[in-house]
Amino acid sequence: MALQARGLGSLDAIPCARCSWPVPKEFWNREEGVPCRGCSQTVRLFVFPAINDAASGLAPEPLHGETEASCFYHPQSRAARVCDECGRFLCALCELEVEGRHICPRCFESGVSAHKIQTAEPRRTMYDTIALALSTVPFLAIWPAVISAPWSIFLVVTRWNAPSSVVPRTKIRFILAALFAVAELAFLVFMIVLMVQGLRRGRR
Amino acid sequence: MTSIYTKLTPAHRTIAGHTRLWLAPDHILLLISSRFAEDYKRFAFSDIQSIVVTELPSRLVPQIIMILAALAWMSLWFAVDIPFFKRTFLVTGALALLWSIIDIARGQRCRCFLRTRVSTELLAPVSRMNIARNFLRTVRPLIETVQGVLPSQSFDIIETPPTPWEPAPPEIVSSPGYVPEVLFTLFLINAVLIWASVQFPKIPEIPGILMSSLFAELLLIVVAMFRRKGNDSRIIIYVVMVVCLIGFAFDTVTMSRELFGWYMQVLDKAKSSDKSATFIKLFSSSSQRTTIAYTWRAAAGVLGLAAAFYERRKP
Repeated sequence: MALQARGLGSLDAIPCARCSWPVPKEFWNREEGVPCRGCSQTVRLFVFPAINDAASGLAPEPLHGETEASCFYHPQSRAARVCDECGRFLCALCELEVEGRHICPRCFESGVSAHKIQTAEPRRTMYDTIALALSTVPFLAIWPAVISAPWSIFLVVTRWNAPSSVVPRTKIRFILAALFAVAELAFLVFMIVLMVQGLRRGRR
Repeated sequence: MTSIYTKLTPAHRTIAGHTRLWLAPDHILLLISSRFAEDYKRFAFSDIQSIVVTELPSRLVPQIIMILAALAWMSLWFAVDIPFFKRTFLVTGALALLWSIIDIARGQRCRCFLRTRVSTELLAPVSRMNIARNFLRTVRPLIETVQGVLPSQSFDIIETPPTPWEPAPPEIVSSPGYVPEVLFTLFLINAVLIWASVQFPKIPEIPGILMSSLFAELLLIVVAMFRRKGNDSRIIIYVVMVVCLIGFAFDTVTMSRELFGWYMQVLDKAKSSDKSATFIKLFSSSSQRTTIAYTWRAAAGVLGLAAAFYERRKP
């Protein structure tokens, strides 16, 4: 069956990674690589059976009788599953399989925003790096420490248990940030004490 | 929370952050870090349709130029007497040299795209062939475990639109340009200017012009080298240019010495309240180095121009 007939319009041809010239089928899955007809560079192209997959997912089945359970989101569609989170009936269109569980779109959305579904999150903020940056900026000039050091400590305290990267990452940045910020604040206090003492001596 | 990810490739670092590929039991994760936030793109093994890796052209010529430039920069250590400047030239030159050597040691560059049903993603961390080989060695069996192997007989079933690779693409007509010719002419002009600066030391305009024209000389060498790729099939002129770079490094040392001498002379005069003018000198009249400077330029100019015109006429 033609790929285009299956709605795979994006798969016009598989192009070279440098010049976008299409790589002929006879050169697919060759370990040694072949020279590209467009740019003459050696190109290796590995194609997998997913190239034959249909584009769309499963279509929901219509209700056959009044006694059949219908989908919570589509009352005209027959229920195929129950959401593992909220227990709502779901049709084949609404059912999402995430990390081995079957959930509805609403539970999926709330799970992503609550950082419960690690494999679906598109973005995370690195509070530990921000805290570290705030505590190291005063190394260039001490005066920003008046604002950045307390801010850094605030982030360390409030975001210590916040979800960090999805890949392995230690708390070392938070620890360093706290140490630097405390040291900067101590230095600032020391400087203020010295200035006050100097002023008092001047008055005497 | 324990992570399901293990490192798949080394990090590809830029000024703005880094990207790295991570491996999970059922998917590949492309992590794009902007230092303060991380973006994630996941590719399930069951969704991956193809992986394309193309080797990129060698960068040996710019790498060699970089090494020569770093060595020339480091050689300024001999030209100055102040320890601070000595160390500065040595350390910065050594860093540039180290960077070039690491770049060569990392091996052949490449570009890799991963294609799924809905997206085509550039995998920036797969930027060298040795990384690409390790990546494919790890990932291909995992994808094939999930999807199976696509037999070569089934390629014919997959229908792609009429392929534009028959007939072969029209050959790009190379237009080498005239930068090398301009450069070799400048060599001749600079040879005359160096000779004139020594013969007429009381004319301060000559060293002034020479400073600019020598800088233009270096700039043109770099531009000509970079423009060569795919545009110019001539060889001799570029060999001459590489040799000229060594000559240029030698002259840089000579000029640095002279400039430092001039600067010290100005300082001495200022200390003794001497208000007479001190003319700037780039080349000393008594030095053999000056003779070498204008001789090699004249020779390179004549040889380069002759080679450029000969190679241009060659079919």
